[in-house]
Parts: sequence; C-alpha cells; structure tokens
Amino acid sequence: MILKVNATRMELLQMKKKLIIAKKGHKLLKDKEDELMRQLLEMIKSIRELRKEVENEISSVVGRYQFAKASMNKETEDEIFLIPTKKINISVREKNLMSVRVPEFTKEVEGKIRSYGYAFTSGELDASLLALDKIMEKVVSLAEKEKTIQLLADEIEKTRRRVNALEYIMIPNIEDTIKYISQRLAEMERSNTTRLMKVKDIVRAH
Amino acid sequence: MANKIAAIGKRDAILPYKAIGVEIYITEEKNEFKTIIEKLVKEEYAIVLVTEEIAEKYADIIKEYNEYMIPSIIPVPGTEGSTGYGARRLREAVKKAVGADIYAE
Repeated sequence: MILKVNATRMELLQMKKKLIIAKKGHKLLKDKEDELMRQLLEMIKSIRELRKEVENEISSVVGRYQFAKASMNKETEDEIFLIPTKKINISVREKNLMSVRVPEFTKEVEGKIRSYGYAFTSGELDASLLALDKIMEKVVSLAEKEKTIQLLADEIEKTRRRVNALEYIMIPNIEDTIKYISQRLAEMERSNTTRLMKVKDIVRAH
Repeated sequence: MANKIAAIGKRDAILPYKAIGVEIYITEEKNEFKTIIEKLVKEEYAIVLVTEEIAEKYADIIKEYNEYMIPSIIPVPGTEGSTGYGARRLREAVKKAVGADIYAE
C-alpha cells in the first residue's frame, strides 16, 4: 500500500530516513524476541519437572491428611488450626529480565509447627504436616517460575506483534512509497524534457 | 518487603496449610472468591495457592491478574488429587507465546 504523501523530493528523503529507522527497530525487536524465547524455553524445561513433583507431593499430603482427620473429631481438628505458631513470609525482590519485571521470592520462616497437643492427634497428622512444610520450598519456587513464564509469554506475544507489524506492514509500505515517489519524479523530469524539446522546435520554426 | 502466602479452596484441601503458616480462605462461591482475590491483590500477597477445581472454574477472574508481578496465583491439587489443570494452564501460556505446542514432553 502506498502511503498518502506528496510526490516531492523532500518526502522521498524523509521516507528513506523512516525506512532506515524502521529496519533498525525491526532488527532490535527481533533480537529481543529471540532472547525472550530462549529464556522461556530454558524455564519450561525445569518447571515441567517441578510442577509434577509438587503436584504429586501435595496430592499425597492431602490424602494422608484425610486419613489423619478420620481418626479425630471435628473439635480437635478445629483446635489444631486455631492458632498457628508458624509464619511464612515471602520477601519479594524484583528482577529485570530483558526489561520484563519478574519477581524473585525468598521464603522466611518464623516459629515451628507445634500448635497442638500430641495426646489427641495421630502420628499421621504430624507426618502429613511435616511433609507439607517440606514441600513449601518447592511451591515457592514454582510460584516464582510460573509467574515468570506467564510474564515472559505475555511479553513475547507483544514483541512478536510489533515485529510482525514492522516486517509485514510498515516496512513494505514505506518501500512501496519510496518506489512510487521516485517513479513519479522521474516521470515528471521526462515530461519536462519533452516539453522543452517541443518548445525549442516551435521557437526554431519561426 | 515481606509479603504473605494465602490459600483459597475447600476446607478439607487447604486446612493443613494453616498449620505451616499459610493464611487460608475457605470458599467455593464465585463472588466471595472474587472479593478475596481482590483483597489479596490489594494487600500485596506474594503467592496465592488456589485448589485446581476452583482455579479452573474461575479462570477468568484469575486471568485478570496475569500481568501483575505479584501475586503469583498458582493452582495446587485439592482433595481429589491432581486434575492436570495446572499443567494445562502453563501449556496454554507457552502455546500462546511460542505459537507451537512445545510444553508437551
């Protein structure tokens, strides 16, 4: 598609400048996309394993907890969780990955699980809670990685759209326009020459 | 900054988290879920664990916070074991970005 411009030498120069900038931008964005993609692929490998591990372990903990629950009455269950003595805080740091802001989580733990008496609870309960506590480390890292992947994926999509817009619309349009203007200018020059020749002939005939 | 972890889901599936220091919110109802998520986002929770059944049911609510840096909302298996939604969600994100399904093994 030819852009709406006047076919003048001025416009031609401007178009040529624009083309150079568009090409430079295209190259930069393309590089960015490639690098983001590389990061994403790297993360996918590790997260697939991690996700599976976490899922399996949590499923088994929840299952064991159901067993533990079966052997106590509801009041005891409520009591156990009434006042948790343990606290998990996550300190969040921001990391810059190719100008995408991604979080980095570190786990900080305060206190121990012991918030209930051992007399009315089963060993199964202790075991399942301990196991869950152990998994938390992985859960935190899973949360960090999943967020990163999500943010990267969004950014890649955005970047790719920009690259495509430049590659398939902006740059071809400018190139077409440049061609159009230079042809128009050449045509104008030819018509000028013939007119001059014609005028000369008329002048000579007198 | 120090931020907290929360878990949302059915009582049986998330109660154990309370003992290890995760804040729990028991709900299965859509509007309630929405208000809880909004509250957690406002208070800058770092991680929100949501049981898979609920995460899948209310995926559109969770999606709104995809581009926020925190919280990281991730699905975890509930009482029925893993439904595979967590993996499926990741796979979607990757498919959207790469344009090809490369998450599968």
